Amino acid sequence: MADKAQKKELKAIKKFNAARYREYNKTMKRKKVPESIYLTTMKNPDNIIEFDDLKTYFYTDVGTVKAVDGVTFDIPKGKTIGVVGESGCGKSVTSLSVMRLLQGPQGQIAGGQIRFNQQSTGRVLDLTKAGIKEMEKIRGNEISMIFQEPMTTLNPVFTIGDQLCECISLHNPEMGKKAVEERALETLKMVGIVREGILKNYPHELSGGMRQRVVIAMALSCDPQLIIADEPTTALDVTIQAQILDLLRDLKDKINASIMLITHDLGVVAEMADYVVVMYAGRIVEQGTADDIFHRPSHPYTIGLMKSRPMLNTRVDRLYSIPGNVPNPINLPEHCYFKNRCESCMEACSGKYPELVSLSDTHKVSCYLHQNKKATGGEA
Amino acid sequence: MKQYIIKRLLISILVLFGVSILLYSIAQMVPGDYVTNITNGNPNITPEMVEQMREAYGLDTGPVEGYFNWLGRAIRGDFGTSFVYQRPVTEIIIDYMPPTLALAGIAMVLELLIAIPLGILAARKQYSVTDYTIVAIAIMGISLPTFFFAAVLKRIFAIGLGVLPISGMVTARVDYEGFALFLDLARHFVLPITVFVITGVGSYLRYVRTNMLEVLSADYVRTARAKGLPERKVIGKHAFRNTLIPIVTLVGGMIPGLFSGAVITEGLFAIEGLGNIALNAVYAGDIPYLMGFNMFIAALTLIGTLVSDILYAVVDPRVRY
Amino acid sequence: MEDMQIRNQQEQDEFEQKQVILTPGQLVLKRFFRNKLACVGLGILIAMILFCVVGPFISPYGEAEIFYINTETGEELHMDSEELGSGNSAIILNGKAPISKSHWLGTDAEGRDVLTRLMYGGRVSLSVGVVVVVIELFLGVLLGGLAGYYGGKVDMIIMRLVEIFNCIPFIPLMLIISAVMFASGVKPEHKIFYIMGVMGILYWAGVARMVRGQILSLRELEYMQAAEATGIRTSKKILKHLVPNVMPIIILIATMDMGGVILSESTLSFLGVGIAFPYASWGNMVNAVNQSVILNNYINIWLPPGICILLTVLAWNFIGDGMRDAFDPKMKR
Repeated sequence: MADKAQKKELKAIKKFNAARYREYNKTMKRKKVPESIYLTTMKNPDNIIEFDDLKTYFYTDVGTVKAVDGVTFDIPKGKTIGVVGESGCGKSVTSLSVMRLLQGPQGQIAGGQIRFNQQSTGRVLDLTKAGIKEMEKIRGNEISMIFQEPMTTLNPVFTIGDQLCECISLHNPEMGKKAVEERALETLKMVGIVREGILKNYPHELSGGMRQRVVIAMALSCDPQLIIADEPTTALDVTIQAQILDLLRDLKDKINASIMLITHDLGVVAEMADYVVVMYAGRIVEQGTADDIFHRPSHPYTIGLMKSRPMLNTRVDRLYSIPGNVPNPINLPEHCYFKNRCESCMEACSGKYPELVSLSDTHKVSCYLHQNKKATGGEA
Repeated sequence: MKQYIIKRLLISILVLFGVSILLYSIAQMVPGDYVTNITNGNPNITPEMVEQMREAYGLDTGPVEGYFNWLGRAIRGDFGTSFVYQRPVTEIIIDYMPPTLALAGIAMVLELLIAIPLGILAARKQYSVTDYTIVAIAIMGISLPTFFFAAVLKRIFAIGLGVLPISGMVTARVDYEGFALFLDLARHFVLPITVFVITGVGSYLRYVRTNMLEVLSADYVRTARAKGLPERKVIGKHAFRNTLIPIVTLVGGMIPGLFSGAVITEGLFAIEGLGNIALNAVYAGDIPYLMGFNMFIAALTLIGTLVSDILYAVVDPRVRY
Repeated sequence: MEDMQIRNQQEQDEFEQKQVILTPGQLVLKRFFRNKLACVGLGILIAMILFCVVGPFISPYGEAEIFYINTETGEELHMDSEELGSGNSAIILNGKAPISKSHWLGTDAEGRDVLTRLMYGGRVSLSVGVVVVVIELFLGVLLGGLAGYYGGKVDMIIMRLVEIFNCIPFIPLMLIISAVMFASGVKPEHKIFYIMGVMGILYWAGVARMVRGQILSLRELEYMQAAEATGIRTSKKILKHLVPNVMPIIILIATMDMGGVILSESTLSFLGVGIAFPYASWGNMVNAVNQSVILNNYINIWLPPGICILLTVLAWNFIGDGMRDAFDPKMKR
């Protein structure tokens, strides 16, 4: 009996997915996308990027995974935003959505806007709708990305110079070969590589830390306005991690770019970020300035995260850990996703998902504990 | 690098040695009076030749001694005398090599020219109608029995429509010269090559597709896209250069398949090449020729593998011997 | 507070239970059946097996039954008919008979019913496939397993052997073996067994290489090292940890090779070095095209067996392809 129902359900999912795939392929096939479709205006012109109710779904065989479900936050110009959360909470998917690098047609942006304030043309683009040609001009040029795994992000069969110069000359077609090479060396110097002949090296000849520096240099090479760093230090060992973080912090002051730093390491965020966004199961549970989050954490999940951090000068027998696991991302319940792991759970939590409420101008949280304090809150 | 090549060469020689033992022991299994039987009634064969034959396969002496005698001559390039042609096997192989090489060579180039672009296309459009169609056609090609496909093509194009010759290499009783001869040859090679390519291309196509799929899911392809490279360049430069690595190994491994294919195709279309002679040799019991033919292929295969190993180091900078 | 926690837990459990969770086996099956080509392949194969296994019981004729015809009366006669001995010059072999009610696909040049021979030929082709694959798997898994598990010298020797077998193409090697068989005067009815054995022995090298590779990569995995660290017996280690993980690749090789083996066998039979009279095989039935009269005018004699080979091999290849996709954990869809 149950088996039959299951089969029926799977069939329904398949049909539903097929429709989504068709739609996706249709939009991907469009050659020319008229400007009117993707031009929009910023809510606040001082922001470099604004996420507005971004929804990124993966249509899998067993159901739709809402990897990012209604995420709204801004990145102001020249600031660093830390996006924090456990693995699988949708951090990376958010960043891939910006670059439109999701693995289609399964993964696609299902709704919302990503407004990008393009300095070079003075236009505002909705990246969720921009055509692929437009995206190619932005990728690596105005928004660049640093990936997690330095061992595999560089193409093993091309030299460092090839890969670095390729990026520069692609976005600066007027530059000659000499100039491109000079620029490449310059950016390499910026990330602390002064070795002679590095341009002729292949990635496998470099250490992990060096490779990550190269990847960072690649991201910096075209003076981007926004750098997305997706766990840039996770795959490196601790001493190298510290070096890379120092480097990023230095660079942050040197270049006038915003950084979106994605990590599960609160220590990194504390050192780097001006603003922090805490995500859980595809939604933002709390956001605010670094000060707000670190000194006045309000969501039970954030509090848990803070508590589970090893601290100097405090004696604990056992490090705190949040009980339970992240819920299955398919068919998430209606109520707060953290409810079943929450220590301060109450009757109200079984109700519908709590809205974001503002605790201060910068600090927002989505939890019933705070719902009464400022009932006026919530997003417009 | 040099050391590696020498090492590989030594291993190849060892393997070739193994091949010769294997082949010789198969040939050894013929019954003692075999030579007498096979040569009976053949006026061209002199008693001395019979004696030589018996000696060659150690039918008189023991198998071990016979083997070393045979090997000693084989190293000097002497595989004995073919029964059918009454000439040294080595000479026959050299004489009849051109048609086989032309057939197999053209087929190989065409197979690569078809397999690589279509394999990449299928991988890029994974799960699309294009992908399914290409894969289905590839599998159909693999599943087609060569002889049956050849019969169908002959029936349609040679007999039904009468546009192409049914078999042979040149039109009989007509003396073409120069370019006309070339055209005539080409016309005769159309069907054999079609059969060859269509039945052979499928497995390479799937191989290219599988490897391309792997490369496409690699992180560096995502990096290339994140740089803002147009899709054409992401595929054509970053992904292709990486699929080239397995393709190079593939080319070395194609050689045995080409000769297997050549035997059948040449037989079907009566092309006077090594394969066709080998087929006739079976019915005539021409074991010296078959031994020479097999050794020749084994040696070619080993050279092919060696060359692709060296090429591997050329395409993949990570490989240093 | 406590209360709430317990309720939460229950809710969580309930929620988990409601999820659609598939076991690995189910997943493989599901992925397999999603592949339409694989389903088509399975369908063709089942139909083919039914045709060959059940068909001969339904067919009124025998495999080598020859038909004669009385040209005067148009009456068809069986080969054991008494009238044959009567010396009636009007009675001739009913060869190359056209498609008719009594012979749905006509008769071949020797006056035998094509449809019936098709069924018997299929039996031969299918069983050759199965037997050869069993032999090659036995040898390949054994030797590949030994090479992968023990490594070192054993591996060295076995891999050189594999290389030796790999650098002689199948057909040319088969030719020399056939020449020897001709010379030794092997009886045709025994030949089929020789062919099966020889093919099995020649095909083992590919299997051995794949099994060895799989075992080598398994040995590298942490859980194998963990198993080693617990100090369990070698036999248990192999049975409990290695075998289940090698199983998929063995099943895969079995299906993928089946098509190739059937194709090779039919090619050999076509060339006249494989299965021969009195046995029918699809390959030797197509052999009739060597007579140009038959190629030109009697398509009913050679087309059906060719299509049968194509369909059977195609079916196995589709199934193999579907299996490969289904077993591949990297395939997310």
